[in-house]
Amino acid sequence: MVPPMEPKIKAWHGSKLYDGLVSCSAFAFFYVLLCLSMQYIFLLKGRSIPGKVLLTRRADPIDDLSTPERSPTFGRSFSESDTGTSDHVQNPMEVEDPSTGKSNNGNVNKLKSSTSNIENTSKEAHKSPIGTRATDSARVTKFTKELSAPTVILERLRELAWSGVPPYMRPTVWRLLLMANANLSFLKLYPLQNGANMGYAPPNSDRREGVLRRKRLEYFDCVAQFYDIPDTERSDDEINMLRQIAVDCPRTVPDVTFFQQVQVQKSLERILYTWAIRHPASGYVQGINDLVTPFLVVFLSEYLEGSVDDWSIANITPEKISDIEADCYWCLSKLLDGMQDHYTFAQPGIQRLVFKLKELVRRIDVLRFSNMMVICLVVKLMMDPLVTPLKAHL
Amino acid sequence: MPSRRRTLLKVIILGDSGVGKTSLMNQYVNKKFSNQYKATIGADFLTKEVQFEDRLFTLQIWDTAGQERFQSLGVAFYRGADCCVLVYDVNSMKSFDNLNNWREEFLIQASPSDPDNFPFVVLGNKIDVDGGNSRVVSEKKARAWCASKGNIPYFETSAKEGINVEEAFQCIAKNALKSGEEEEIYLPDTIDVGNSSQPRSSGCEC
Repeated sequence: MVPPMEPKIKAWHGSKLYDGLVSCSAFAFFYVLLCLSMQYIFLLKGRSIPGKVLLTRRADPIDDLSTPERSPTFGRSFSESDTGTSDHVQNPMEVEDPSTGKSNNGNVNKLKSSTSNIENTSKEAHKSPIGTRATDSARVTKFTKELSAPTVILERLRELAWSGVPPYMRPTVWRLLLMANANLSFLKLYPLQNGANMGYAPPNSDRREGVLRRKRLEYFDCVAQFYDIPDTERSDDEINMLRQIAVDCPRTVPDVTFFQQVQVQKSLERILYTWAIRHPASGYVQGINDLVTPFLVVFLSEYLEGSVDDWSIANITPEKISDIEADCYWCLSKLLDGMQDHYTFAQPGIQRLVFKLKELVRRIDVLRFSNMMVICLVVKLMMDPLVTPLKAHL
Repeated sequence: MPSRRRTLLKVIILGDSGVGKTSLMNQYVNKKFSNQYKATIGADFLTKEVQFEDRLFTLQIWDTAGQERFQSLGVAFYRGADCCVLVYDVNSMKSFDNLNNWREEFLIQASPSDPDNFPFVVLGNKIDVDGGNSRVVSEKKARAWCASKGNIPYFETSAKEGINVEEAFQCIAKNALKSGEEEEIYLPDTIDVGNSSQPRSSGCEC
């Protein structure tokens, strides 16, 4: 069934990607886009690090390709749908930069300038996040208002968020609407499940605080019930899972000292373990740890100023940390709801995506397709380490 | 058939999470160590050219994720391996105890033609940690296990300090080459003969 490995990999890199036959359809474009929506919605370092590691190990082109995918996205959709808000688009880039790490910056900037110089200029202009915070509050209200109208929620909010959510709005917007789920449901990559397209916080503002409080309490209960117990009350599988999580937490975003703080790692551990216990079909799978980090950074950014590199968890009250931890947990749960089969036995979700990609590449002429981004996205997916073993099927 | 000389050798590195598989591979291929590696997801590979008896070979080293979950993908990348490297951490008894599982899992998934003689190499990594004071698996114990499994070559390494890494991979390459050559004689020849002779003979008879 499975063909021999080496020649197939060569065949992929050498020919199939570049020798498609049929010209591209709009569907194809959106499909690739969404295969990877997760990777660039969560712009944070979680996804950029594998590229960096690879850079030091093996292949420079990987890292080159991992960066442009987001800048064209921002540049393009921003200019289409969001005129007059250039600094909104800008802000996301600013939060990104410190977190993507210094070694990436040159690269990012270079690519950015080739695709959209608006971003560069407004980045320099943007010095005071507090200043823009006041003027953007109307935009936050707009997001919230959109969410209160059930039929236009996803369309409108996604449209707004598509061009980038200002960093200081992300905590609210992300809680309100998890774009990954909304996007994927919209394109019917995943069946629309009850509530799967809704965010963690309810769109109705009257209920929001109450629900948030209830959800947080629910999380704390779970932690008390599953995490804060002696090992003697755990099964062997649970002990193994906890051990695996404990091995991975210190290896999460290893090059940013903020994530090396004991308290941050403990939060991460609690989130991952609690999620794993409550999702026995997959349990904890390596890589899920990276999915928590964008939530952590975004929610913490409400309380910590400056670059992630300079953050100290000691500057936040324990209550706030607990709340943020709970929010991260629920956001992670929501995010993974739509893709848990990427992590269950034999990873059927990923296999499905790889086969769809195979089908797609067969149908489009990637080189003739003018949008560079598509090529980048295809290549990026093929560089996804989770996909590596599956290349045997291509 | 000398013209079909094999030049690619596939090596799989297995072992518990966090024993240093990625570090060993990078120390060998890139001569670099970092304590900032992330957990390996799925699998990854690096290649390195090695020279052996005047012939040049490409060593394709597959670094795998230590977490059991990813073993479901094992079949895809264990297949066609010429040598399997089992790594444990000398400071962790559990990682040593699991060597047996890793070995058996590999033999099941890769199903080599001659499982009893398939080349394994065992590496006890992290001997540098704490000056050896936190060590819990003795060399004697490890060697005894290796001997019981058909005299598996054993090396004590430190990916961090680069101790014994080169020597270990030399041995790995040598063993991979041996197993690769045996396989070569057996497989491609039969296919070639069948392909080239049959059409010709049928053509003559017509």
